[in-house]
Amino acid sequence: MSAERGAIQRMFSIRSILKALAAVSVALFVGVVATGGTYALWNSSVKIGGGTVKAGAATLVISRALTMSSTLLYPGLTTYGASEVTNSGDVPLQLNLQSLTGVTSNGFTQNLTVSVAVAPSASASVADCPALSSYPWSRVATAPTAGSLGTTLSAGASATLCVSTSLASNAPAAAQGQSAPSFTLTVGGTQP
Amino acid sequence: MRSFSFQTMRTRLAVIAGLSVFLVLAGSGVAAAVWTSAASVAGSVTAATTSLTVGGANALDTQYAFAGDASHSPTIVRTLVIKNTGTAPLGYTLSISGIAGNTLAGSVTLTLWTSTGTCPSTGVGAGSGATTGTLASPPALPSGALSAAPGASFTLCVSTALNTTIVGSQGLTVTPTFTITGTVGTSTWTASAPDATFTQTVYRMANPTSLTCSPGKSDKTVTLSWTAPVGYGSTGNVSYQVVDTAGTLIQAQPGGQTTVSIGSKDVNSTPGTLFVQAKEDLYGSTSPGVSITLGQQGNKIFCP
Repeated sequence: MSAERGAIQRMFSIRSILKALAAVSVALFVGVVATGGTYALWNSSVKIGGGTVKAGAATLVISRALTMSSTLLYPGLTTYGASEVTNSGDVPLQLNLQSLTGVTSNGFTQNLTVSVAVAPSASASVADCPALSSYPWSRVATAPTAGSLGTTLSAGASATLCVSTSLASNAPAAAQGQSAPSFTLTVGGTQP
Repeated sequence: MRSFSFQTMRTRLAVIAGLSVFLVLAGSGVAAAVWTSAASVAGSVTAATTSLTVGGANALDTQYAFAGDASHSPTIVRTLVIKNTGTAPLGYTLSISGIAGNTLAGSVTLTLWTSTGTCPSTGVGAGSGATTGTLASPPALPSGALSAAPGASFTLCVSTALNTTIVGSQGLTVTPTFTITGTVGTSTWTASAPDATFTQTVYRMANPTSLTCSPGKSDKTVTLSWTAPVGYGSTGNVSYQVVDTAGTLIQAQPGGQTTVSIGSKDVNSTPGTLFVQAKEDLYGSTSPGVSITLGQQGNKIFCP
């Protein structure tokens, strides 16, 4: 009985575990690479006892709707609006501007630049937006490619989102009275 | 010796399996999932418009005439109300058209200033900050009239005055068009009110009327008769003169006399054309003259 227990102890010593770990890893790695396929072929299972694993969540919500300035734009003018975004999930999220939609191309929107930045202070208001040193995401409204907002939002944290709209100083006279009546900005968060 | 249970064995097996999966996924170079989330906000933005109105420019219609004892005309002051009726701030400029080559345009002094109330009805001195030029070379707008916020208006006092004597510019006319343009910054966004056109003329004595010719006491003379211009009685401050086509004085009739005798020696050509002019005595304005062409044969002279 004592000899049998000694054999079992040797079998599960640290060295043995490492060897087994390396062997299994190499085997799996070779298998995955060799097949060039997906993990769908993984259909084996290992029963794990004695522990509980609970999945986290990445959840970004708008906790305060965007309120844009009611001032009408004219060439050279920039107006500001503010919103609040909250990371209500369990992991920090790198913020990015995924899309700007709902913009119809016309003489106004072709000369309209929309910019987005995250205010450094969570308590910032729209009054603080003009003083921001930079707006990491800034695009002509008709060509709004995605881009980073340069900020990581901790789990549970909120941040003020500053949105500026600027009309180019050389905007044509035909742009007068035109509008982007209902645009949508989608802010994304990616786990770092 | 430490006991080694099957529970321990099972735990270590679980560790091995978990680490194996991690190493394979991390080492294979195949895509690994990351957690993402997104949220959207909505907004709207609209462009402004430009427009403005100018009221009162047509009130500058005037005729420069004698004023009391002065040899110059009075200064005419009118009120223009300029309002930014658009939704963008405007910077203003003034331009005047319709004056190219006009002799009078350079002889009309134009003065501009802003006022918080009504402009004086006559020239009693321009307000502070006034700018001065002529219709031919307009002044810049005064400092208070250079810009206006949306919806804002201001009063611009505009005075015009003849900078020559009435006689020096008599009969001349100018019809300038004032255009006030509002521009948003340096952009192409501009607005202007309907052009404000007005006419200014310089007084000139009117011609005598009802000019008639009748034979004189002999066939060597004829008698010309006429009626005084409107507003001047036969004894008013008016005299008459007869000149030839070169403007040479042939006869002068002071004191409001409305007849003159013309002899054949007064006519230098055949037939001879003469002009009867009325002349305002105090300042010297002279009418263009009413023409009459007399026949001539030898030393005889005939009415037409």
